[in-house]
Amino acid sequence: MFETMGEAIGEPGQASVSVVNRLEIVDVAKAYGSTRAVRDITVSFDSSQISAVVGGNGAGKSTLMKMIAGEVASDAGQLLLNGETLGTGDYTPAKAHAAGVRIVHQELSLFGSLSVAENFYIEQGSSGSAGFGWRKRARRTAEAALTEAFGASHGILGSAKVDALNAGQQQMVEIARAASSPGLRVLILDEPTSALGIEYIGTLAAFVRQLQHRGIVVLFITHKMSELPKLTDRIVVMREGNLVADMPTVDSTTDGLLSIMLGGEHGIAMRSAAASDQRQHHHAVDAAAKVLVSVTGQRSQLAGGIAVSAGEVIGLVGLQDAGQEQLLRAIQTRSDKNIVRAGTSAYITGDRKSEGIFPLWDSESNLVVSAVVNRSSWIPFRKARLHAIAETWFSRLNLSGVAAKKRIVDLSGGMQQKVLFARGLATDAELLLLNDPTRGVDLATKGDMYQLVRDAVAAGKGVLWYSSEDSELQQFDRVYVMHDNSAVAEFTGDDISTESIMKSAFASQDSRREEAVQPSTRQRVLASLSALSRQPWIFAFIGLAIVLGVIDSKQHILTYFFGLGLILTLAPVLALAATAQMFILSVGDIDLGIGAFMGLIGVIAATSLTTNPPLGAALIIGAILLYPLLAWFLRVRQFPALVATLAMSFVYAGLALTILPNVGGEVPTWLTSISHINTMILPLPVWILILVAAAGWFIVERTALGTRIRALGSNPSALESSGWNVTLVKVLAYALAGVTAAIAGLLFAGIATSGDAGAADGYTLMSIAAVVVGGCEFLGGKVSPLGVVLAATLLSLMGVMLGVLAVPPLFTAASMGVLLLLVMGLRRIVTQARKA
Amino acid sequence: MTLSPAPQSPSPLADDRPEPRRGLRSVTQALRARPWTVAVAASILIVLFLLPISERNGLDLLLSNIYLASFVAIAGFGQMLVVSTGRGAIDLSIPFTITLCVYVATIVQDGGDQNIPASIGLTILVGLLVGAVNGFAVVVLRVPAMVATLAVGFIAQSIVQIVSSTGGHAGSSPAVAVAARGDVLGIPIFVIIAVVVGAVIAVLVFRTGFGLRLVGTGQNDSSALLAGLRPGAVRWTAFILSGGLAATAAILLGGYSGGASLGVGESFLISTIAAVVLGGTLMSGGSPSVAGTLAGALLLTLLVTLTNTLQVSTGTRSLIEGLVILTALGIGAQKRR
Repeated sequence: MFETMGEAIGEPGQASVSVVNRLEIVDVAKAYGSTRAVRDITVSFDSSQISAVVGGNGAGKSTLMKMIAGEVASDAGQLLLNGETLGTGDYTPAKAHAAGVRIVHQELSLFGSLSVAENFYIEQGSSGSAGFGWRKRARRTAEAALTEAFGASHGILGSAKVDALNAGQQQMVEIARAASSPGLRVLILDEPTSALGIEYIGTLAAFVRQLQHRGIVVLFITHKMSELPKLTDRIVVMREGNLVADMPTVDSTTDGLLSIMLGGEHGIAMRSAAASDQRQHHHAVDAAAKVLVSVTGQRSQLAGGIAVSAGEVIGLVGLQDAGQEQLLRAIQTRSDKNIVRAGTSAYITGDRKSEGIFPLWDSESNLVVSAVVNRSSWIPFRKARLHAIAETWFSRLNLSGVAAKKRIVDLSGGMQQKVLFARGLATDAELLLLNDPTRGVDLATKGDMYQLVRDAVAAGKGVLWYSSEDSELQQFDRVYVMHDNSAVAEFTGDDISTESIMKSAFASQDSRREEAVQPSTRQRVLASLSALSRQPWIFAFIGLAIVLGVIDSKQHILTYFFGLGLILTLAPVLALAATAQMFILSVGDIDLGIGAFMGLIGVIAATSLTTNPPLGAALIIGAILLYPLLAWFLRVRQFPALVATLAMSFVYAGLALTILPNVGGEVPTWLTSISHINTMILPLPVWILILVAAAGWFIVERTALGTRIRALGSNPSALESSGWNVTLVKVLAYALAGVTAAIAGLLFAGIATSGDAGAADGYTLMSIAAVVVGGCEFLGGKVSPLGVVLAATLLSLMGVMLGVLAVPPLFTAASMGVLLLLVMGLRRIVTQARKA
Repeated sequence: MTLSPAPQSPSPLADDRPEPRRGLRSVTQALRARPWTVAVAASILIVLFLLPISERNGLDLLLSNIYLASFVAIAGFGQMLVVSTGRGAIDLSIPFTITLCVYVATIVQDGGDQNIPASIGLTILVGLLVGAVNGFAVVVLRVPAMVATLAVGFIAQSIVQIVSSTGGHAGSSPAVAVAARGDVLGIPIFVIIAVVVGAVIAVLVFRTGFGLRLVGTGQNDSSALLAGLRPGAVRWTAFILSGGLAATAAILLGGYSGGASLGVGESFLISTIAAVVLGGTLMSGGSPSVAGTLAGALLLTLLVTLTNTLQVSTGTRSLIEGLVILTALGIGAQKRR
């Protein structure tokens, strides 16, 4: 299965390029407890060559790269870039970024709720320009960088939201974005091709060559030996924390590398395992074997559909993101009517972090969980029985007893993968669904996994296996080629080859591309309608229209200037409170203290602000400063905003009650007179609502700070490693919220004319209701300032609507509840309909 | 940059904790392994502080508040189950459910003893029903838990207002009221009930398949779905159990207070969340602490005693409560990675 490297295509040996940048690693070491991950390594990389660092799991290559990128502190030694020390103990990802050292991980670090262009803006770090026109510049940068890296056919728009891209496109954005980093001098790519389509590997190779010619030091970490000749000039091999070989790529062979990587007896055993990787499927599958799963309908264009019987290993292949993973998940969760699964199944994933492990548990619990819950949910189990199950599997997988008690996240990727394999096998499921389980795993572990699959098949199980690696084609009895969420071809036995698979995958690709050339007018109208329905504010807008319609049909109030102003009196207060809540939500937090805070501001307004205006103003500013202070506290102590803001609500209420124990005081006249200002064309509250929506939209969607705030809500650690001061962004978001909430409190006090510590308490829950109805999401920094204001207006008018409909006030709360559920339910239905 | 370990979820298998290290580190490590120690230590401190200044003897002082602690603990177990399902789940409907259930229980009892079984049955049923509606909104409609339970709470609030305005006689049964003040060997019956409920919940969470499913779901929803833990059913069940536990607390509360009033459940929103958090349950899910919730409830009620004993103003009392929660959080929370 392993070709000789020298024969492969590529342009190796271009060592004539002059050295522009040089990264030197001198006696660097790192130990985790008693494990010495990296042992006194000295090596240098420069821009004359593109280098790969290879090695098995636990070889120390990831740790070494993380030290270069500032993500892991080294215990000893020095990192030098062009002779200058890259910081010592205080070397962080942000500092690495500033020095021009950039790493692209297997787990992507993009901001899902931001556009591609905004992602590029964040990448520019604090050096990037945030002046007028920054959005346009960012979009141009993004599209140019993508074209440079992947050719003009990359098909990714700068204005597209990253969430809407598939995994391969996201990886393309990630690589192009890292390469566009200002002052880039060292680029580390950790398994950059794992999600990338085969069709882009060639362009990537040309691109990194171009980067190298520009003087950038490019380092690869990869397990895909076959890609080395295309991508690299030099290979550095690590084993057990040591550097064991350093050779030009042209002089290397896969077998040679393998023996160096593995070394010793383990290596010999491994190579014999590799040798036995010859095609295994010559056993005839019993025609009467039980069909474990059959798939018909949309997911298969083949006459017989997709079928897996007991005792066979079926591959799911094709270009990236052709629906292989979705099919496996649908089979496992029985979420598709066209899938008939006869018996039990187990899903074993290579995407360990996002859909495999339970990070707080030790590996033993991670292993037994599926087997245990398959039995009874309610009858208490005995610990001894669980230990026994775990023991059996740990010994079968040659995992030491120490690993059983270790947290799963402290294990290497290969070890985690073995635990996940054992979890699936321990359930005695008849069908094993493998989602690229050898992703990012070393060769020895791969060999062990192939053996586990063979044992399972010998025991009569069926296997459906999505693989992204050509070498694994050897493992399959039969393959289905997937394209665009559907199986388009089937190959058996010796017909299975990379060529035959790619041919059928690409053939389907072409036919589809031709179909989607010119959209008709009708399609365009439908598309724009669908785009409208995707606007987060649309439900609040429709709801508000209905409520206004109902009110107007009974009272004709809308046509009267003063009538409209009257029923909307309190709407601006809620709109401001909800906008403040939105700022908190956009960084991923919730504020349960906002109502109490508004009460505190109102109390200050009704006391000091009247009797001693400078003191009152100072107190209000002091109160507002509690918000950024809290943000700073949350960052330092890292605990949930939900609870901290709840505790702060006690603090605000306590302060307010201390200032003014009973209802009373008097608000200054300038404040009460605000609500009596006469305005043109529209009543004052409407103007305020428009102003709040416009200001909110501008801050969140158009300013660079707004982009950073949403980036923080979307992916805090990625923002930090891009060189931004995350604490500062959070503090500023909270400060914005504090100022907005204070204005809400003042406006409320002006309308109420006196102070009452508890009067605004209701705004806490109402503001949460408004941001949700307005289309904001609790996670991921997705907010809609316009929707928030529309929803706040809608909620303020609910009472009025019930009044004109002669519904008793007892039902006001219930109607609010029903409205919330209705809006959320409708949104769910629309989202589902769009997917279908 | 030091990497400190994240709190480890109580594993059903882990009986040996990580080996203790010396000095401050061992303290923080112990705190992470047993998150409820903060609440217990703070409670002991408050009691020690109260003893000399209180006229009553120590035991009386404790017992006078332990009733309140039992209600908070029982409802808090429900909050803990919901919070542990992760994704920011929280049950904001608990105060409304409790008020509604106190009304149901006391109206059915109607000041007599003959309807006790019916009142208990019906009240629990109402609680389970509210939980089921919460679960429906969260699991089927995919409404964020915070919003779903807020909406359901609003609806329950309206029902309470309608019930109370129809003027049904709400009087606790004498037998329940007597039981509420009774004790066994000097230990109040309520405390026994709270501890028994806690023990049942502990077995459920740490020794059953459901518990594994719950804790797993809270740690990683996708992993849970694909590993066959049926996270949707887990969430729904957690909300139903939370409703049932709120109803249980309401039955006891009705007996204790002798009747129903509109604001009877109000304080339970903040106190259940605070008890759960002070007890060291992770708000992000996947790591519940039953003993911690019990200790958290005790700490909260002791705080009330403390402020009462010191006869401070309402404002100062509120300030102290807020600062204590922040301080306890600050001690218990893990340091930034």
